[in-house]
Amino acid sequence: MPPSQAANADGAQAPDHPGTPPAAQDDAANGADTVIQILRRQGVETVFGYPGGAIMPLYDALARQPGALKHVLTRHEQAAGFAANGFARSSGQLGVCIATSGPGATNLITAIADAYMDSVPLLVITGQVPTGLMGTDAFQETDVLGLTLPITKHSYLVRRVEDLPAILEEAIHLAQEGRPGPVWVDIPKDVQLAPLPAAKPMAPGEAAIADDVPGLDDMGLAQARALLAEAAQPIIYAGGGVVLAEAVEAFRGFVETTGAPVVTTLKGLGLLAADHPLNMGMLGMHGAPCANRAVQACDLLVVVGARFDDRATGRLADFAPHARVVHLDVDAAEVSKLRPPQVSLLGDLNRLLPALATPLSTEAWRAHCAELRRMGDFRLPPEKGDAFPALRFLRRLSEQADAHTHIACDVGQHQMWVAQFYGFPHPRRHLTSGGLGAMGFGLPVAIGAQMAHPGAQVINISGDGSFMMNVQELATLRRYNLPVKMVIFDNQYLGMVRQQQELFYEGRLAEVDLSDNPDFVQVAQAFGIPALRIEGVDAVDAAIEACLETQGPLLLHIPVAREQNVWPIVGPGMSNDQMIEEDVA
Amino acid sequence: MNPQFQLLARPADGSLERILRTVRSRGFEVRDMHVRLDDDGHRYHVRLKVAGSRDPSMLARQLEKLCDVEHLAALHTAGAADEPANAPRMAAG
Ligand SMILES: Cc1cc2nc3c(=O)[nH]c(=O)nc-3n(C[C@H](O)[C@H](O)[C@H](O)COP(=O)(O)OP(=O)(O)OC[C@H]3O[C@@H](n4cnc5c(N)ncnc54)[C@H](O)[C@@H]3O)c2cc1C
Ligand SMILES: Cc1ncc(C[n+]2csc(CCOP(=O)(O)OP(=O)(O)O)c2C)c(N)n1
Ligand SMILES: [Mg+2]
Repeated sequence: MPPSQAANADGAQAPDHPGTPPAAQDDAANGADTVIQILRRQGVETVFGYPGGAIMPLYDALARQPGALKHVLTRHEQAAGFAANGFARSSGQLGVCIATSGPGATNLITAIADAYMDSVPLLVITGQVPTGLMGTDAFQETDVLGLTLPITKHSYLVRRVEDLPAILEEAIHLAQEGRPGPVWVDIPKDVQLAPLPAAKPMAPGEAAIADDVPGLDDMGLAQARALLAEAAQPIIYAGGGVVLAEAVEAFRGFVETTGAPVVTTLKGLGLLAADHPLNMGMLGMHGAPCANRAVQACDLLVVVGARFDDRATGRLADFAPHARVVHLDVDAAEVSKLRPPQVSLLGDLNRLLPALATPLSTEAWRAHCAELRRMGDFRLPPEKGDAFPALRFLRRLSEQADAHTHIACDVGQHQMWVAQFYGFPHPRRHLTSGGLGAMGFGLPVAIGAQMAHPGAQVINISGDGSFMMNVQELATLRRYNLPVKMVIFDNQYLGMVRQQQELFYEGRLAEVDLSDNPDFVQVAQAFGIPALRIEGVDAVDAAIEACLETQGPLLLHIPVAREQNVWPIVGPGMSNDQMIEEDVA
Repeated sequence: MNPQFQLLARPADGSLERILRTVRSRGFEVRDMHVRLDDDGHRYHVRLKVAGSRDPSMLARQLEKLCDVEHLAALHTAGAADEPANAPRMAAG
């Protein structure tokens, strides 16, 4: 049916778009078919999305090629973006999401900004109004290219169908190359409909676009080795870049060879086993006291795939004040952005780390760090009242869950407790919104991770505030019968904001009370999802058993102490020397 | 002194906007800007003078990172012109 006769997805008759070419004949490929062919050729099997008027040709192509791609329909475009994000974070593969123009595209923005901040490889495809209507404030027209400039690695508007194959290939490459990130391709409806010869199969390697990875820099390496040899108190500060470079093994080898103590960012949790003798833990605002103390005392900071984020460094001017810096990264723009290094090494960590590894004789410093750790690792605080002990639950869960378990979380106090008390065996098992800190992340990301790893245990730890931000995705869970476990730590507060109001705004609480939350058990049941409420100080075993033994999806509603805080905390704008620790007296 | 840059950029949708928004969001403002498209339409030649209190080499690296930017030369400090942003630096002490 020509588009001019079709009712569009918003219920209205589709406007008769001037300049819109007729739909391709069934046997001829059009732009939309080409999108599917290229995705398939690039190894994409699963996409997440939500249809609408301007993307209907692509959905029509999906309908005409059943089985070509597995399309997961979420109940909100933000969730499609987050699910693709979870798919990519947990697997290291490209995540793909699709939406329509206008509100579809704007609904994606938060999830794509999240992927940009945390360097997640995504391909985002949106429909756009037909080229002839662009710039006329047409129905559901938004300037998607303009909107996405600051939150993507790159974005494209495809104006001619002939350009579509090359743009898509380039977009897929860019999203995954070097420092990964989201790449957005906006395709007007007439371009999707325009005829295009079927993409010819490519010879092996033909599609490969050369990566511009610098070779090993011998002079820089020699300078870095000299700094390592001179250091008496070195610390390795490692982050998400190690994971993105698929260099976890090379990193572990580097640590063993040098024997230098390690701190990690939130994004680097799991790079070393939590109980590894050289692992000082997470640094930063809610980091382990021993990690922050070791960094403040060190004389050399070897920064590996980390970016001096202010949550990690505290007040930058006071961060690691005695340290010289060697910075390893793939992104030249990260080097010197915040802390100028003495030496920077750019390139592939899998090559740089072994080339830099050399045994260091820093026994006294190692012994000092071991003592710091004995005194200042994360401690389970004493029980308070008769509330469910959420922190003990997380510690025990990490001891009992198998190593392939993926833990997603939302944003808030519960997120920090996951970081502090769950000992991750590998960073890809930890799905957390680091740079954007977007509430609503957890459930759709868990859905994406479960799609990527159908046989794995996926658990989402959420707060009562965050869970409500994408609660509609319970419907997606039900539709695909995904065995995701959802734990809601319900303190009836926007707890992290409440904590900061208590500590830094003289206790004036403003708009953080959620004591009128819905009954989460009934909410889940309304979506056809089994749910349990687990309460009380002795309920840890029951909660763990429910998480680990239940087949199929399950929501666990766990009321927790209302006013429990995250400790330690470095106040916003303060130095990491100024950790406020819990007064347990 | 106001930092100056010369850039060659692909004339794709949004390429000039990307340059301008990078300047703004990284803490600089444009003092002078000249843009010329090659006769064959393949390349923008951009001359940019900016003002700001942050390190101009930080801005240079952010501009160089843009997919459309094919070449950047920084003209702002003696000795810094044409220094590739990713050259290893060894500072004293
Ligand atoms: C409520 C809340 C509290 C937080 N508290 C803390 C806290 O206490 N401590 C903390 O650390 N964080 C905390 N964070 C997270 C923080 O905001 C940042 O997201 C995090 O510190 C950044 O981690 P990273 O430096 O490892 O950078 P990432 O964002 O993971 O960046 C990766 C780095 O690696 C580089 N890279 C990318 N790809 C490659 C590659 N292929 N090869 C080499 N390098 C590569 C990138 O260029 C970049 O420099 C918190 C977040 C929230 C929401
Ligand atoms: C989308 C979004 N809006 C607002 C915030 C600010 N914020 C950070 S944590 C938080 C409270 C989260 O509450 P909840 O999910 O219940 O977690 P808790 O801190 O209570 O564990 C808020 C409002 C945010 N990070 N993301
Ligand atoms: Mg809460």
